[in-house]
Amino acid sequence: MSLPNPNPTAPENAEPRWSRLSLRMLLVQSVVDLRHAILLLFPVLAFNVQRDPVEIPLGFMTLTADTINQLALVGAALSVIRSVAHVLSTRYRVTAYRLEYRTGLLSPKRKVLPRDRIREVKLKAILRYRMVGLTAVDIGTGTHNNTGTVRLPGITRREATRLHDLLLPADTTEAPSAPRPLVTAPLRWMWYAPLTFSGSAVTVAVLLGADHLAYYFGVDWDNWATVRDLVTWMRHSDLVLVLLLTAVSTILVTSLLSVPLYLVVFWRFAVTRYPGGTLGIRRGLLTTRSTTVQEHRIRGVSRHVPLQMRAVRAAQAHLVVGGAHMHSPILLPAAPRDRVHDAITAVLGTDHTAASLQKHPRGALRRRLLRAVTPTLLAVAVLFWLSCNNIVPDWTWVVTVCCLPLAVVLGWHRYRMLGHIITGDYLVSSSGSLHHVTAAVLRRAVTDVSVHQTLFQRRAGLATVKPYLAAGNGGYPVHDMAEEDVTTLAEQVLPEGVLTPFLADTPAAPSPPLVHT
Amino acid sequence: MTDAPATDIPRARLGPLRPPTEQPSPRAIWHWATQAALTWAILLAGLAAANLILDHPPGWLPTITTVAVLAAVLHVAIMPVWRYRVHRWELSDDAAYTRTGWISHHHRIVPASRVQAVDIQRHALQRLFGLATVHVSTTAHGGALSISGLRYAVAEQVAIDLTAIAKATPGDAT
Repeated sequence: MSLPNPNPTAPENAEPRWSRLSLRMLLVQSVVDLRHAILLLFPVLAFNVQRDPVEIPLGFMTLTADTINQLALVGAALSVIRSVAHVLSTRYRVTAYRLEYRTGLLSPKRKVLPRDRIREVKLKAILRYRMVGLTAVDIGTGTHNNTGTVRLPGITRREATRLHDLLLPADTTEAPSAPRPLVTAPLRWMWYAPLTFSGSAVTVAVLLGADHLAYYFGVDWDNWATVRDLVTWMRHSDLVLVLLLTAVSTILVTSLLSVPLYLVVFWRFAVTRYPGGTLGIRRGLLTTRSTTVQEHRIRGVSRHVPLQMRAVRAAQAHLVVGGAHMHSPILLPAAPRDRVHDAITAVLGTDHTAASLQKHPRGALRRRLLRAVTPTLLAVAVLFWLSCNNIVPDWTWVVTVCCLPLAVVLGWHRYRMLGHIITGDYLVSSSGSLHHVTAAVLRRAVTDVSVHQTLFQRRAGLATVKPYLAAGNGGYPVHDMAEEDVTTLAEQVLPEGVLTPFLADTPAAPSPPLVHT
Repeated sequence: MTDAPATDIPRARLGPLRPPTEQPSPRAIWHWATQAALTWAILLAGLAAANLILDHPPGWLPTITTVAVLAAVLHVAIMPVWRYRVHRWELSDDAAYTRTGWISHHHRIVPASRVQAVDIQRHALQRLFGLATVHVSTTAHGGALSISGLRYAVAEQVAIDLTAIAKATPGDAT
């Protein structure tokens, strides 16, 4: 086996030496390997604890306890060798123009990132890293796949800070005399946690995980008297009651689990402005994450209000950052709306999401109502037909009919939430009812514009305009705006003069009468 | 909210967009028709196979098949011609402008200063009709603007022109 020769002793042209991962990484890796080994242990135990020797014929060989033990041993050894090789073979260096990275013994991989392309350096220390004073560093160029990302899994915190300062200069995330944070999230906001959707998702994940673990340890739910009684009771009692109880208990469990989760994720959440025009966002209890955003890459901000949060006047905010595809850094987790306003003002100078918006025409209301009511009516029709044929119980379509007013309210509310405005350098657009998003994005950050019109939109004189962005989720569309306002909006987000030749009233084209208000 | 920023004074309303000037090659009609026919053929073959193979095909299967055949015939007959009436493209001194779709209309304007790459695609079916598509990509990940149904020579010229105007227009493509 030949090592890729980094030749650290002969620096040519004063090229910097190759650095390795910290050897402490072996310690961390051994924990990971141990975890793998424990997973391997389950089949081993399963085979070994049986009283009668088990033999599974596989055609070319027979699986017995002995072979399983040997296989597990080989597996464990391979996994150890692999991770040791990874730790020992990973090298990186920062030259004047490039970050170079290589890893792998058998199939060496090499990556070179031009330094002027590096957009973010993220320090992320999960618990087992923190225990040995290490941290993982993700260095990204802002491409939306993995090719532009280098991940150094285990280097010392000092080295990580050095790299960070070297690659994104004039910025000190871990400086002892860090400036006072612009935005923080006090602990009492953890009570908003049950209102976030991530809470419910986590509940499901935890329950599934528990079920999985129970299965590993051979717990059979059916043997638990309480569970058995519960199931029997559910079978014999009223369906509506069961549904109601399930809903209530889900909400309770979600709330109970989401609060500690919030603490783990958003512990000591702080957004800090550092000299040199960068923002540092750090958070986390067990795993600390610090993301650095160069302020000149900030393209705007989006404010999110899920339905549950509207009730308590809370909201969340994300930054829209150019280059950072796939993820928009959190500016503030669930917080009172006024504090979100303050946070956005602190970072961007003005909170454009609070601007009063231009409403969309009545045609948009008809369209929202139609789109909310039609599926409900269809569902009623289908369920009615099914219940006539005795496939589903009668009450299903009755319940669906009762949902019609809700659909009307939803459609009306969706219309109320539609709006857009150009204010200063920003385009603000708002849409969504169950999940209301108001986004303010820099006009000059818009790369190109599309105008979409379905048959119905054309007849109603409406259009959906999408200003594309090389940031955040790729652009926040303006739904169902008045057709005659489209060009006025497009003109203000496109570079100057680009739209003019394509207007119907430019001299080059046959000119229909001008529409001016 | 307390200190909402003042909204700008609304500008004079601009006139509507006019359609782009250039049409794709008429051969595009045949290309779209063939493409649609091939896609439908797969579905219809599946349905036909189900009708033939199953000993007791469910009652709704013949109905579905009939509906699918009707939809296929209508789609293949109407869509390409309609699409040909909608598809338009145009290059100006500093932008590319397209209109696509058939029932829904899609306008797209890409300023030359945002153009990252221009490439020409000819997949097998297009080559059968001597056609090509020009893709214009920007840094935004909302997909690229594409001008389809162009003859080779036109596509090459479009790509050359686009590259030239993109070069001539300074810009960081954000």
